[in-house]
Amino acid sequence: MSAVDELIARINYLNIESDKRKIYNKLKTSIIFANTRGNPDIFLLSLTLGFKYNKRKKLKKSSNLFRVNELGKDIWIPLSIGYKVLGDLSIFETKEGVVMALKICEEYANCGIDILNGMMKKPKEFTDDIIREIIKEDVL
Amino acid sequence: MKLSKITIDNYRGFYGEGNTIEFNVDDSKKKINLIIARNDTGKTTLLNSIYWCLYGEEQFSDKRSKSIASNKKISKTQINARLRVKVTIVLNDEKGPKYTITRERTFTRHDDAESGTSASQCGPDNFYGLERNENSTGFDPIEHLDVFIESMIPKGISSFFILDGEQLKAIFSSDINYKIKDSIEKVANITSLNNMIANLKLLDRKYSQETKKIDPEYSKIQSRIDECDERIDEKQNKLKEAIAKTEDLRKQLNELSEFLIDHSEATIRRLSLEEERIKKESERVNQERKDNETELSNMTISSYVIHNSKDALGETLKKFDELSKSPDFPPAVEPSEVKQLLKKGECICGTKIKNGSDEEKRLLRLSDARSYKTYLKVVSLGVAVLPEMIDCLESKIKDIKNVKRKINDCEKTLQENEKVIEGIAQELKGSDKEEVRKKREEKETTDRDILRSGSLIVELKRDISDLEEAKKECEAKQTTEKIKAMKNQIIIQKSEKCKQFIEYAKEIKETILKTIKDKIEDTTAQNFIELHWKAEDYERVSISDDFSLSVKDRYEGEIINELSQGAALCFGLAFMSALRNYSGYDVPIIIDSPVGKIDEGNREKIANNLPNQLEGKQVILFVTNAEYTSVFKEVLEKKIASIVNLIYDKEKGEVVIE
Repeated sequence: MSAVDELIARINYLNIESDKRKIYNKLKTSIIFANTRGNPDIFLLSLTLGFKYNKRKKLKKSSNLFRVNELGKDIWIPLSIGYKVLGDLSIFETKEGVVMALKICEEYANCGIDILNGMMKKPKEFTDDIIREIIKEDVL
Repeated sequence: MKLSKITIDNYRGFYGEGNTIEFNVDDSKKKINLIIARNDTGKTTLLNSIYWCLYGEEQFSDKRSKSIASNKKISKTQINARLRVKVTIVLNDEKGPKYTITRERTFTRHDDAESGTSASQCGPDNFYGLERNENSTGFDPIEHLDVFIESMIPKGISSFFILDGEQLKAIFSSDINYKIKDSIEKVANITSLNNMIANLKLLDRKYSQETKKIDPEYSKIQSRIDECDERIDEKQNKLKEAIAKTEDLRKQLNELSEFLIDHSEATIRRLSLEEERIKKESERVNQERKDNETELSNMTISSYVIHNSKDALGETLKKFDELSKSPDFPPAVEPSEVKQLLKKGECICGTKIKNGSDEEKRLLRLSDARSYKTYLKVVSLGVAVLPEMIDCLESKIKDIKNVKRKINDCEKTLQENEKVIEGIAQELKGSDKEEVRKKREEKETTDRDILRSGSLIVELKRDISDLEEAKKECEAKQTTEKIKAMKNQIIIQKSEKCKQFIEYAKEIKETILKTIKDKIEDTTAQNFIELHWKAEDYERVSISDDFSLSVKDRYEGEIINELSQGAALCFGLAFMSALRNYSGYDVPIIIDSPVGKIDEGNREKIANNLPNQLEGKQVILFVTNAEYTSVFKEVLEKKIASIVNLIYDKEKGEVVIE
């Protein structure tokens, strides 16, 4: 068990807004997410989109989406975003810190999922647009 | 046939050579020849000599076990020298001597101190005969003289031709049934019939052995042949059908081939195959594209996530780096030691710290064992993991590009293939591709059908050949069995004929036997009445079915065993003369002492009637002077052809013939 695993060991689930579950369910059936881990990847994508566009919203009625440990190594993404937002290293020291960071991430994902859902209305262009964006920014 | 001469050499009392007795056989009315002699003078010896000459043994004397050679001759023969006993009899027919039969026996004189005179036989008898030839110009040897004698006077019934009157009763004393039956059978010449029956039985047995065993399955062979025929017909019909079908299929195939040639089937086929190949390739490429797209999606999503969180990750990494490299980064001190130091108000670096200061708070946190350790580990892990995560974005972008290129290649290939397929479709435009395909399939099916039909034809031909072979085998077996059955039938028919003949022969034999028996019975009864003075006391003389003789008195009592010597002699003579008359054997009758036990009254009757009963046959009677009484002489005188006297010469010790 890694140190991060120890840290999140007693944190069970990542949550979403209850109303948004149907979006998750719909997106899971898309060919784009056919061979992904499903909910964890959709959540991460929603989180990073919300973070990218700096949009977050508190959850009114939270609902368990998946176990935190399903993220595996990708736990560093919500933790880093949490640190980036809070600027406090304590999130790496205690469970409370981690929970705080994840809560922020849930709020980003809460907005990010809508952005993702919007992008996915044109699934053929979705991948190409993303690739174009990645390559333009990172390579070109 | 009449006995005309007997010559006796050195036979018992007949000493010397050339002792000859000649009978007058020329007078056809006088057929009785008398030999008169006193008792113990040589009558029985003479009778025996005749019997010995014919059969090689004596029949009527107690002396049979002793040597037949004359004792006088033996005594006059030198020790170890040889002497010869010889008897010759001559039989005449109406032309004179017909047969001459001679038996000789040679003896060697012994030097026997006890018996004085004795001799033993050396070598077998010399037995020979002569027969007058057909032209009466000379005599020829008789071949197989034993057989000749047996046919002339069978030994079995010799006792009815050469007999001792005084011993006649003995004929009826033992084995009477067998002897009478045997006698009657011989008299009736039944032997040949018996032989025939025996031979027929042998033949029948031989036929039974010749009968061949018929296969018990014989009756089923025809049904097997029929079954084979039926199956051959069935297979032939199927073969015809198969051949016809093959012909039709070949025609169909030719038509299809012609159609396919006319419709450029080869080109169409080639293009269709090409089209098929390209379609398959397109399917593969399409699948490859899909796989790549899926991979691309995954890669893109994970890259995009990193891409979007790259700054946050980078910032965290930067901070961790700073922490790990900073001198403030707490050394690896045990939390328990930190607690000890805090109690003393010292930092782990040795400086004093104030109560409630930030330093004290941080140290307090560090003294929390769990948080402290986790914190250290998280930072260390982050320093290791985060660069990897950030750096992998670049390689992922490369991969994305590669996969994207692959997808593009796939799409390009698919487009090219689409064009090729369009080209092929263009080429095939106007040709009835579907019809050609159908015809081609039809042709392939027809080819397969022809192949199957050909196999069926071969199979049917083989079956027919096997069945014909089996049928041939059955027919061959049937023929063999039929021949056997026919042969058996013939043999059975022969066997049945044999059995039939046996039955006929038995029937004939029984009829003859009965006829002869009845005649003998009647004649015996009649003769007995003529010969015996008191015959009227006997109610009935009969021969029963089992050939036993029976004499019953007027009270129907059986008295055969109670007959007096005289009555028994009369009965014997009556039976003998009856038997003799029906025998058909043309030989003389020689009777020794015919009336020895008969009183005067009966003697006259016998003298009167016996010659009549034996009419036509030569009769030689051996009588004593006492038998040859005046009454007897008077009655017989006119019938006597010759009289020979035997006299014993006491001085010489030998029998003299006069």
